[in-house]
Amino acid sequence: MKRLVLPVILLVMISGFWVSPEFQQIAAGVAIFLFGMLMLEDGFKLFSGGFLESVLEKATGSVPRSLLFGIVTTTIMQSSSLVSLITISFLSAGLISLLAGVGIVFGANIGTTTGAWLVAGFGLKVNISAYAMPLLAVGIVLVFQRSKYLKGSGYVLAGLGFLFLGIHHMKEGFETFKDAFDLTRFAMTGVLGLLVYTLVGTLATVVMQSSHATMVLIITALAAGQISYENALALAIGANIGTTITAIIGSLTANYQGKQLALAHLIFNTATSAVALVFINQIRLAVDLVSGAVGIADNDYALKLAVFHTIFNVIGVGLMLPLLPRLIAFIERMIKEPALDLSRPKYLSQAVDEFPATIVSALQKEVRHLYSNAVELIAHGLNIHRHDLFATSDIAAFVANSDGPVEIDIDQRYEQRIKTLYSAIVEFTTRASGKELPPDVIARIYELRDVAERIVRAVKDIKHLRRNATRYTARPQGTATDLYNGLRTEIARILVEIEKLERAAPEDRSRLWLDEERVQVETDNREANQRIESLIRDGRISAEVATSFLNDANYAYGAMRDLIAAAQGYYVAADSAIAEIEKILEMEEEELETQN
Amino acid sequence: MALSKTLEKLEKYNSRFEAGKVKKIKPSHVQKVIDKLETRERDLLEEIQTTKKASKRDRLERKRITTLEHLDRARWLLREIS
Repeated sequence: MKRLVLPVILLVMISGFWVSPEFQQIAAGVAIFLFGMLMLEDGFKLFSGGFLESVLEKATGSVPRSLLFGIVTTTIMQSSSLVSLITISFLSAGLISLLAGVGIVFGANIGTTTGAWLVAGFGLKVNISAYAMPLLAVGIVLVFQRSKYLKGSGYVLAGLGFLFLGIHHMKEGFETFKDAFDLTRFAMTGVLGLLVYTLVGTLATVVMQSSHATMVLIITALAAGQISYENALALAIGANIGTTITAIIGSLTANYQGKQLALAHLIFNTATSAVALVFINQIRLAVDLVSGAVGIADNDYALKLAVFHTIFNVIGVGLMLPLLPRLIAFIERMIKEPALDLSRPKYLSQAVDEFPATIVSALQKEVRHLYSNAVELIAHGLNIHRHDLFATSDIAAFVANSDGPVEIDIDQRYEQRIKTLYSAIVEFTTRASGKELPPDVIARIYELRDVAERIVRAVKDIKHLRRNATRYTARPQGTATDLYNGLRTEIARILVEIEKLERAAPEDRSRLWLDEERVQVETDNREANQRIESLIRDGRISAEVATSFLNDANYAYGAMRDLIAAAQGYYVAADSAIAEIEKILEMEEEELETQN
Repeated sequence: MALSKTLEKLEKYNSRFEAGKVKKIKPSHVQKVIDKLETRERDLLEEIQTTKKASKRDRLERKRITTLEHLDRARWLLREIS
């Protein structure tokens, strides 16, 4: 069925072109308009990489602010789809709450009505193609510049130019179309007309994936007298329903929160449209009153349609705002957070691919997820329970008392809980680093990939260590037990120190604390080697135990160094100046020995 | 040796700053790091004083020495950039 949609659309279009050159012009106008919207979206995306993200995070602190953000950004970008996309990405990355996301969507619905004003108030009344030409010319010159912001400005200007050109061709197309074909023959009145034209508006928006394009078509057709005012209102209501399909398609690759937002969008728009349909006569009366008050001529149906579009969306927001907490609760019941599958990536999805801030945030969280799985595996691999470890005040005694083996298939757990996540992280970072991103973002992506690699190496080292660590500590075997408990304790201390870093407030912690652990590891390594030499000299351990221990100590200290380096890479200060200072103050490898 | 390494890293930072690759380090930034390190040093001292186990006291003392080293470097850096 899905495969038939495209051929059917193409067939209808080609048939239309053959029958009517005017239809060609209208279709071309729509195509140019949609192309303009794509360029606008690409242009605004290039402005992301700091500015957009910091504005979004600050502007969504409360519902009114989220609403205002939705209105302003949609008015500027002239695309509720792009605003929905941004919102879904940020929601999926955990950068904004569902409440803020829904507030933005409500605001976007109001902001999108400015498009109708632009067309009805300006586009139809002037020779809009005259404005399109200079925008296109200047825009395309800027698109070829290297600077991201000049390029973005170019896309925006050219996008606006194409938008205006598209409106011009739709206007011209309908003007000449009415001479050849009178669409008003298909006008329908009453409830049937309302329902049929609402459905047509919905389908048109679903096909064109743009409520803006549908509204422009409606307004230009109305201005040319090709559709009645009554049917135009119904088409506008239909466009409002159809636009939710875009959000639903966008949410298919998002996580559960993106899907929640798409559901909120669907509920809001459907409810608003239902209210508009039921109270259409009352809203028409309100439109006439408002139009009269602001000086819109009684027969300027295009502008009156813009008024209608704004009024019914504002009514919708007014009705839904008090119900917002209940709506959120309903959505959270309908689309629950999925049960945590520790082996699957939780934060990496295509929805977070769109913006630098969401890429880094999602990647950071996934690396943290990998580390959490790794800590569990490392602890269990050493026959320790991590929650008890983090609660104890005497790590050495706790480890010595943890002599019962923790029964796990460490290889299987590694495959399921470490390797799959690591593969997902590598795949994600490879994909992300291929995008056009600011250099500092690319550097952070690579840094986090290295963090993940070190975590995986640490786990592999513990896998090597597990057999002998269990063998020599499951029951007391004198010196060998002491030696292996020493290694287990030292690794456990590193886990505890990293946990303390994690629990500290970001503004209080510093990766410089990890230098303390780096110094300690070198001290412990040196002392362990000295102790082994002494034990061998005194004949207090066998050669077999000594060589096993030296081999395992290599793995253990390797794991400790990797864990510390991973933590250093992960806990970079958010303020890049502070991060630079900490790098300058950090100890070099050769300094670690002299600190003892 | 310690300060010479720190000086080397500062020079590398300055080259990157001149190339426009990094943000400017201001005295206020360094002071924030110093404040964090001083808090860390105080916390470690407090823990040393309340710890009974000798081996743990030794470890904490080594951590404190590392923190004092960081503080020396941070204060030197503050003088350099002020």
